[in-house]
Amino acid sequence: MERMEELEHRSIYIIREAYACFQKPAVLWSMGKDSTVCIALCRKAFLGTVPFPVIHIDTRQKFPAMYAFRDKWAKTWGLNLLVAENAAGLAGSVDCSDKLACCTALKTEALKQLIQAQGLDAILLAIRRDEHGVRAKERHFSPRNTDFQWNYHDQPPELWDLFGARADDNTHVRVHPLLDWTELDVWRYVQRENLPVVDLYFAKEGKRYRSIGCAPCCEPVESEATTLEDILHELETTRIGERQGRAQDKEAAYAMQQLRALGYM
Amino acid sequence: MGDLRIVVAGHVDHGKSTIIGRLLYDTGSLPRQVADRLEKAGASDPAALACITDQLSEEQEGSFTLDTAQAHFRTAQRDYTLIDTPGHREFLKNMVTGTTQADAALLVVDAAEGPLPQTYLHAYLIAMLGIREVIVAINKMDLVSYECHRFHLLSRQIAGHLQRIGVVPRAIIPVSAQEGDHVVRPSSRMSWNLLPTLMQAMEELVLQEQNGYRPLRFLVQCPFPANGRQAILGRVTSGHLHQGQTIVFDPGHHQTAVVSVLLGQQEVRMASAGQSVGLLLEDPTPVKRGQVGSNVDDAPVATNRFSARVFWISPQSLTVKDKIEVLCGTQSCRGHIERIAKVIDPVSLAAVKTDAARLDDSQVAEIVIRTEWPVCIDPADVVPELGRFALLRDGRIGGGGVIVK
Repeated sequence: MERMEELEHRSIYIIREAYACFQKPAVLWSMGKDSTVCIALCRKAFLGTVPFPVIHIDTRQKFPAMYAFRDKWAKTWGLNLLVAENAAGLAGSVDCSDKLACCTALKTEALKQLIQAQGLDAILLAIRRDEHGVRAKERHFSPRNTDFQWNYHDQPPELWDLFGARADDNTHVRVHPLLDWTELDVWRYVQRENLPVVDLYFAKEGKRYRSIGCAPCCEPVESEATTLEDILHELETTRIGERQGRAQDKEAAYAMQQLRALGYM
Repeated sequence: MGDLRIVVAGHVDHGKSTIIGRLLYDTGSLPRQVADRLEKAGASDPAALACITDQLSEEQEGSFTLDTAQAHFRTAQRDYTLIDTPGHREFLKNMVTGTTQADAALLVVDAAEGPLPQTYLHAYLIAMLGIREVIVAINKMDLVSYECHRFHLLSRQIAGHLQRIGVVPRAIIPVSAQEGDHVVRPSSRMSWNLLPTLMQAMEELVLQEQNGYRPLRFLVQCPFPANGRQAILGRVTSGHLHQGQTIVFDPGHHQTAVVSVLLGQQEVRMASAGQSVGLLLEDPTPVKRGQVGSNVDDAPVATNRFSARVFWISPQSLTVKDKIEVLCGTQSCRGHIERIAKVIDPVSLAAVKTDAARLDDSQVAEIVIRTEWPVCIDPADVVPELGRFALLRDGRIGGGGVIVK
């Protein structure tokens, strides 16, 4: 089997294992390229439908193009979209200059509230190992503890494709169907499956976004890539890291580790 | 050529993470920023290369690998995934996690220290888990003055041991990951050495295609309603199936015909090994998760008692009569440990104890398992997915193994 096909079929297997082994799973969708691929894989896994809720964690700081993309494709694909917001955090005084505090309040806390309100026991999300050294340590099935934390000191073993890890009661397991994919794999799949992506990924006036999230914390990178083919060519030759434009990754050493230990994606 | 996933194993501090860092750096696979940082650190920070995969603060501060990590890179020939693993005995569960994801192994041995307990245990696990493509790197040649004699001595010792556990190493290569000798770039400091570099040896690895007959095995994941019909979702793990054929589902021996094969929303004529598909069956009603679909005259053995070689990776020992759960393919079945026939010493390969009462953390053994109802199994070298399993106790994975018979 060629790489793309192998990745696709294994991801579908993982998604179905989550569906078969948990009572109330849901998938996160940020409208970024990775989670859009994850939604496409869920649709393929279940013969054209997504049989669980699709969650968007809204910080109200996303790019306008992302909201438009969300509404259009949620409708076209018939998704059961749930928008999660930390209302108190949005109304209150979150210090946006402190990235760790802001991400934790507006994303992690919003997710925590939604998981509790909906009684979710598994959350599918599209993180990849090659994005960040800390994410490279993840398992496909990764339990969170009762405080919502990732105990990276003592992760359960994961043997072959036997995804036996379960969480304690009242908490959940993170399921990572795209863990083995690279940034280039994601774009190749977008091309192969003709998937839609937010047009912020394509260059305008010599700049494009490689990674999108909250508008104040994303910087475009220099690029002339205006088509999918250009993006693929750029990624095959570049030596600039994918998350170069993401503020979270520029904070003090180990910021990502701290964020993730607290339950961040 | 397809992908190659290589687990890097060996004793604590023999240089596993450093070799990975060196491979990534010398093949130009690191992002510019990371490479710049490395160049700045230069010779003043010997841990810099290892820190590329050792990304947790505890790992960088303590200069050891706590959990397995993976790094991806490409050559003109193929995609590689390097799986870093911890060498400490207490993190064996993380080493095993990494190893079960690999098709090939790189066993790293310190040239000055030679093979130590975890070298032997890791080698034993690599062999037990059925990894046949193995390269040995004799690392830190700089510490033994790049001496030819020392290399040959170790090389013979290790090749001899591996042979006893059924592994023929594809290459044994002298390197210094720290100094960059013979990992990607040939070294001028070992004029006696005519062997390929480690990277060349990796490029020469070829995964052996399984020869001969591959029986159909379709692992049922779950029934799923599709447009008013019951589809059966699952994976063809071996062989192939096609529209119109008759399949039998075991345990339970339910025989029915395949009406159509679905890949997403698309109807396809057939599905082959590795594909996750949906099946519309003539009579899907009795089919449930855990069953295995096969050709009528070629079903897997369904048994409630089997012998296996296992590893135990939980701090609480496994004892005879312990209630356990076996995960095999998509099957999950309760049972108990009937016998711990032999606890094996991975260094001498002799039995430490026969008919043992318990199996401790990080030990390997031959045991007999009895299950409450039949489990479908196959020889691991014919259908790997039905020849291996995880063992759960109190709902947590505590070990795993490979079925002997």
